[in-house]
Amino acid sequence: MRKLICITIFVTLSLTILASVRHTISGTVSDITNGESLAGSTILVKEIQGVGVSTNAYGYFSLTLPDGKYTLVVSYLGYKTVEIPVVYSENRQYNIKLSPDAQQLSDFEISAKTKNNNIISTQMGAEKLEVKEISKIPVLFGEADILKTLKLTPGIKSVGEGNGGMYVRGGNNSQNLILMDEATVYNADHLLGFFSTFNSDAIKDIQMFKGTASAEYGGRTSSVLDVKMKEGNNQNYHVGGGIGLISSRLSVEGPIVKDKSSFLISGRRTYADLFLKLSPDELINNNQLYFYDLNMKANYIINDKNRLYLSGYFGRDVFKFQDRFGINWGNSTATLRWNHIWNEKLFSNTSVIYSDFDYNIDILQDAGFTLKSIIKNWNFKHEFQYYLNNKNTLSFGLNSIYHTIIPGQLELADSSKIQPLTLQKKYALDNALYFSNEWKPFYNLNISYGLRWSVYHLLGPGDFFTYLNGQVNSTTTYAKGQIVKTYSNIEPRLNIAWILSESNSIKTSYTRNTQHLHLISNSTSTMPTDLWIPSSNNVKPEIGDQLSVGYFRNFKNDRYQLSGEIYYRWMYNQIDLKNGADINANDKIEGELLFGKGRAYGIELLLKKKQGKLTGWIGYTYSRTERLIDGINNNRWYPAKQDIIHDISVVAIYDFNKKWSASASWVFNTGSAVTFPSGKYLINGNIQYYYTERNGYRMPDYHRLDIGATRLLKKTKKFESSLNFSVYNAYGHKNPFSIDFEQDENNPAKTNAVMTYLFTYVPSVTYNFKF
Amino acid sequence: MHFRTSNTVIIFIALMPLFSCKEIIDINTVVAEPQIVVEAGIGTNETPVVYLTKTVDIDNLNEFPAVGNAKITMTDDKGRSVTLVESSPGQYIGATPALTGKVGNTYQLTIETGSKIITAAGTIPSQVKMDSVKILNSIYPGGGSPLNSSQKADFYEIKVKYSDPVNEENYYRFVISLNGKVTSSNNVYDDKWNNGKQVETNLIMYNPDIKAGDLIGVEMQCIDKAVFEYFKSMRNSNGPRNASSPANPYTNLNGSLLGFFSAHTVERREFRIN
Repeated sequence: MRKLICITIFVTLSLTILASVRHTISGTVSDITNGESLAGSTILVKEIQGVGVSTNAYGYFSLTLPDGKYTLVVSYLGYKTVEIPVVYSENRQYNIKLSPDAQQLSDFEISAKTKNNNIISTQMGAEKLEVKEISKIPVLFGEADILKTLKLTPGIKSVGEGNGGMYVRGGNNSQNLILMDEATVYNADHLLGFFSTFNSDAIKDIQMFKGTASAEYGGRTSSVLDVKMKEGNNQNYHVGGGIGLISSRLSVEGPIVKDKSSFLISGRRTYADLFLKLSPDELINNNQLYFYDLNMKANYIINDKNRLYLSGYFGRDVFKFQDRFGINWGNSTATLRWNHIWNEKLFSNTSVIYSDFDYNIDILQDAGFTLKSIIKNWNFKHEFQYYLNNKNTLSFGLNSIYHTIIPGQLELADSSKIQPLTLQKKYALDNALYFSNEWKPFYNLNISYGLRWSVYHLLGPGDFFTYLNGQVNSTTTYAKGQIVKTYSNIEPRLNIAWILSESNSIKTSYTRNTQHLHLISNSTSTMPTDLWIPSSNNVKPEIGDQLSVGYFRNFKNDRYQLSGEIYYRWMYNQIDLKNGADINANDKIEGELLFGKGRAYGIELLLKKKQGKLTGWIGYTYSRTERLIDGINNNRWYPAKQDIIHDISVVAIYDFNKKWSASASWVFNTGSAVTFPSGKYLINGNIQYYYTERNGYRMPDYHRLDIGATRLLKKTKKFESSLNFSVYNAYGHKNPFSIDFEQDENNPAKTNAVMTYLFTYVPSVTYNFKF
Repeated sequence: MHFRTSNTVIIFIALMPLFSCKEIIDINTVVAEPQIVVEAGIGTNETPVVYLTKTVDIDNLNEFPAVGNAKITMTDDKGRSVTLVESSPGQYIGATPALTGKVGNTYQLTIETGSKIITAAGTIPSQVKMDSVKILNSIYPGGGSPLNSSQKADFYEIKVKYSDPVNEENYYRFVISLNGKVTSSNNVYDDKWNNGKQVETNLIMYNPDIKAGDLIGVEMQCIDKAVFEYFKSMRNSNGPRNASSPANPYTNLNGSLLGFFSAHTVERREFRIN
């Protein structure tokens, strides 16, 4: 008996020892047809419930398990799920290739487990969009647009017509961190917001974080929009494009060396101004108005452990009115990245990033001049991912950004009577150290937590002022590189997902973010001439705290996804502008600023159908957002302009058959907050308006239906073409661009409210091709 | 340098008519309690003038009720004092030459009307005179050929030259009138960009109805900072379209929201159109 016990103990012990011998399988997941890596694909272990891993932003994964035989279930939405039998007995590398699932519409093969990622991941307040999905949704001028599509989801708003700004959970437009291949995009609009800077042909995927983004992201308080460009097909050459009424696109991609390296070049140009030429009126036909942009990317797989990526973006808007004045503006970005696999558990990415935004205003009259303004940054990012074990995945890194702002520089024609002028340049260094951990303590509990420590320095040279009642009180001169002001902030992040069952979970998250670049605007719409200023001795960093709780549930074998989220956001050190302040050509702008705080809260409901002939979603948002700024509205709380209380969006895409698909989207929201006069008076012979409160009125309700249809013309292995028809604002509702109070032309003693609206029906046709 | 932000806004706005349409709509504005509006001034060598009116609702006609029977006094820092008399409904003037504006003096205004007491103070800054004034009739400001053959020279560019003193902060205001009626009064400048230099301002007036014999008046005032701030903040109170949220201008009055009191220098020129 004793012997038996001994043997039992021995066997148990040796089993334990055996079991504790662990090995790691690591590798990448990519698309078999074009070699594009698949970020966020899931690798689950069939034999152990709740154990698995997702690929990182570069498609890399690492999974450590006790030795034994397992089956890895690898899946990615829109691809055939594969099951790979593996034996853990030594460290191995697997490069897994998935093939696109042509039959995905009938969704037979995808196992239930893999489609409930929305339930089990800790991520909440996030939207992930597939470019395929976006391309079917109708938009203005038939141009698929990721920002427009995002604004159809709860919590992400645009304010009225003709305003490109994106307002996320009560934040301002400038509080969104918009990244294209890690590079900051300062201005995401083309043509005053009717288009975005993102050419869908060049985009692989989009991730939007309305709530807590992981600690690697920082620098903006409201949201993160992370856009990744395609890498380019490393198997075959392809040319794709589209010809539309006002814009055309062309992209070329292919291998440089098959399986090893590839490139992508994608360009776009609008020619809206060609229509202006048709006008007989010389005031109209002599104008220029267009934009173009270019995305480029190349990557090179050096070996199994090293991979390089180089990507760039360049875009510009040009507007010229007669030969009198012109304005052009644009972003450029460049990103060089190096992926390195140190060992089977440690992955690193090192990036060197440049990005800038500039505008030029040209006054072309005889005493002409050009006003130039630039904001740019150099950014170094070094990040590690350590796959400690199947319960913990650590990320840590450092990030250092050097900002240069040239607020305004006047260049003169010789004959000009104006004095040359250069506003003081501003320099700042924004450093951060961060770490985060994805921790799965139990199969039904996923926790991710992290911390970002940001240390910001405003640097000389230059004169820096203190102000008293808006007047310069003292001036200090700093030498080059001298530290003018330092701010240090700790930013915690926490996400908890409690998985109640395979089809429902409860999540909560908390985040703090700080922001050192502030956008000063004296217009209600977003303008390229809005001014960026850095945190300084007068301007404290903006801080945002957000707490959210959500319930996630899938129905009918994950065909339907329902989510409800509640959030509350606190905003500190918010900035506004005194009445009538000059923002351009003003060295003492900080004396014209007003400071305060904000709060926002809301409920977001979303019902999504991701599979089947009919796909789409219904979203509803109830939200409030208010500001309390010293010196505005008698120092009382007032609604921010983006305080849109009710917001509904419905998106439906229906695939009739292989040839035809149709789509429709309908949006309705109650009006944004606006300041209208409550009286009028006469002063100095002019009528002036009397205001009782800031944003005390509401714009009329906004609603619009867009419809579209796509007809596949030809589809062979070599060539594919389709025609896309769409109608923007199909029932022609007049949504106001602005409402102004003007004196009646016929009866100058009377005042009218005059609504300006831009578009009623806008039909468009686009021919798309690919070979 | 008189490059203003609104220029860029205007550039964009210039684009909008290419796409946009307009329509008069109904907006139910709040009926607000009528407010007293004060327009008060004292110029060098002139007696004080005060206009008192009230606001009306947006839907009303532009007929602004005068506020009569107010008790208005003005005193200066030399101990002189005058009670203004109501010369016509809502218009109060210093009827005796006992108190006129002098450079460097500070003037205290007190208005009593009903239960309300409104006060304000201002100092007349030192005078900067016009070096020259000329008026150009042009097809397009800044020159250039007509955009189309039917375009007429309906722009009047009033070019005022003056030499800004280097050792002080100066604020200027220009009031343009046509046949004695003020047409443009919110033209204020500081010397931030041209301290100590000779400055040429270009005040642009567009009026296709001006005919031979009409009289254009140009008044240059040196104002104090508070009055400058008032007019500057008024720029976006009616705003170019889509300017940031409009608000009442920053007044220098105590006890009233609307209006201003300006103590300023005065220099006037007149031009007969021929």
